[in-house]
Amino acid sequence: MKPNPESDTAIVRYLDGTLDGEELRRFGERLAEDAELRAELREVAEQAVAMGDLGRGRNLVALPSEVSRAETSPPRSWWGPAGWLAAAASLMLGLGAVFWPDHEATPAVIATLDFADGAVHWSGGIEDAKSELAPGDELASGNLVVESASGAAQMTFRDGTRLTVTGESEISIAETDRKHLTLRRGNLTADVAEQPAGRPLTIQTPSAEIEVLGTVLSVSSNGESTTLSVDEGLVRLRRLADGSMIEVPAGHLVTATIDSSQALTLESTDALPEAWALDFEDGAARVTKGERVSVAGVPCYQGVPYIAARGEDNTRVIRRGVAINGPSDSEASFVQLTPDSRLRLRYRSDWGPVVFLSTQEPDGSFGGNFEYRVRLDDSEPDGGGWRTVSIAIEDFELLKPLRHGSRRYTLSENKLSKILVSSVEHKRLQVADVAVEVISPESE
Amino acid sequence: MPLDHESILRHLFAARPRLSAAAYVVVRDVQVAEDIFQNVALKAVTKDVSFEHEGALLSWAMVTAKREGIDWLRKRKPETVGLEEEVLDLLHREWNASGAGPAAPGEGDRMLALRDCLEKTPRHSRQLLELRYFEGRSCGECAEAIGIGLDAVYQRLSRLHRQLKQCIDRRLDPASS
Repeated sequence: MKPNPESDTAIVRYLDGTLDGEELRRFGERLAEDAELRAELREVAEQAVAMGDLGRGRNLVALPSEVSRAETSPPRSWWGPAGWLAAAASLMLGLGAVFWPDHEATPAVIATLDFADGAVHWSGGIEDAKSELAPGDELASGNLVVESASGAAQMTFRDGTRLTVTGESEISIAETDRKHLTLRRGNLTADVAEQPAGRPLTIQTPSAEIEVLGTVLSVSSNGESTTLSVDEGLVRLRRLADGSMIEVPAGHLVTATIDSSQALTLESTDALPEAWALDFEDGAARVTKGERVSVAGVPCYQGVPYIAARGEDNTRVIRRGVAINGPSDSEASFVQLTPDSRLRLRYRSDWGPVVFLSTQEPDGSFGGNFEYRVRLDDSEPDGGGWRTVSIAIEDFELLKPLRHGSRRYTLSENKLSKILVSSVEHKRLQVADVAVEVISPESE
Repeated sequence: MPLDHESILRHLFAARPRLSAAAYVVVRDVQVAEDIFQNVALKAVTKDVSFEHEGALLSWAMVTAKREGIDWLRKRKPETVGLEEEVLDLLHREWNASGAGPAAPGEGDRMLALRDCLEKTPRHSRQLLELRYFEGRSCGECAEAIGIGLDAVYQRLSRLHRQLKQCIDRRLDPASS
């Protein structure tokens, strides 16, 4: 909520009931047009209601015990005079043990962290967020934030369901009688073990709800739209805007937005090409980080700052980068890698950039993150200062946090879902060409 | 299979901050908004309605809370002019869309964060918030109780809401600070 004294005063005055007719009309018009103002009003209203709760000596976390007290000394109109108060209260007490965390008790462990890489924070219950995560950490219900574009975290639930969250994502993870994930933004892939009948794993985003009984899928959400891609099994998606539902079979994807006038339609996830080149006009891949510029007539993308990691004292480690993702908000991959794949990069910098790759396995599950550090002496600059390198796929290394698990990642069999070229913060980086080529050793 | 009463109450209470706030935007009285939430919960388990899934329940609850709020205003404060229903619909749709999910831990965490932030709020500022929201006094009554002008109350409350928002966000996500 950025400071906007005029609008915020109008909000407080509206809620106080002191806007006159003309002011109210104008306020209504501005609300209709200004999503940020509506968000401010919702925020202030939620704060007001929450403070009303605190004023009545009750809060959400303490609700069960407060309901218990209500039976002997009811606060103003708590559940009213209806005869079902006792039944409701006893029901809520029963529910409380499950849904309102008892912070005095040790929270139940629901998953084990496989790895965390980059700027990744975890917070559970009332704990402060912690960023020093280690493989094997036991996790109760909580919130995971992957702050950096190249960051990732993976956890395995007790039933073997594996969840991987990659790049600039925020997710809440809970398990009561079923697993429930709330993806506020970003990308996840899930390899879901068979779930008990009637208790599917659910994934909620701002625009859709997804029910999963057992499959491999990936979900991306940016707040206004959600893309579900299914690699195995059958998954049901419900669009929140109008409640319409669609079943998504293997090999298909669907996108749900907050606009219910668009029909929910299935698209086939076709076989990927083995060769690809960044085309400045083509929509087959998107540059999600980088500023498009022209250097002496050469169109290129200039690296922009992003948070790459957090230091020990929680300071931000800033890098400068150009990121290329799949063609939609789905973590859709855009190239099939092979043992003979090579990545060609044309760049301009006086610092050898790092090339980061994020991949999916053939079944759509997380395939590992890899990187290669380009050395300046790998190539000679041309007259314009541009350097071109061609990197064999086998030269990319699996990121360190992923090396110690039992899982094996094979880059040359995976699908490429993200390329991030980066330099240190204070060094210029310009990228004019990125391509994946298949060059067999015989033809070299 | 329709949701049972236990599931209905569980979902409604998880969404209570949003539902009560949605009612509050209509009636502009936190106590009345709380009453409306309780009525909605009561209707959900006692009236002849059934819900196939949580989304249907929460959409129904949001619409019902708005309707109850409008009805309450018409009966109790017929002279009050509120926002156009189209604007309320827009707000409520966004509230539904921004819902954090039935079992997400965010709601309880948010309340704890608010409580912590209030504890850190300077005493004179907290007094204003307590008068306004704990005791449900109007801004005019707050101004009189504290001995400052009405405009100053509006400005202070506006600033305090912004500061609380920033403080809550920091508590919930230190990475955002």
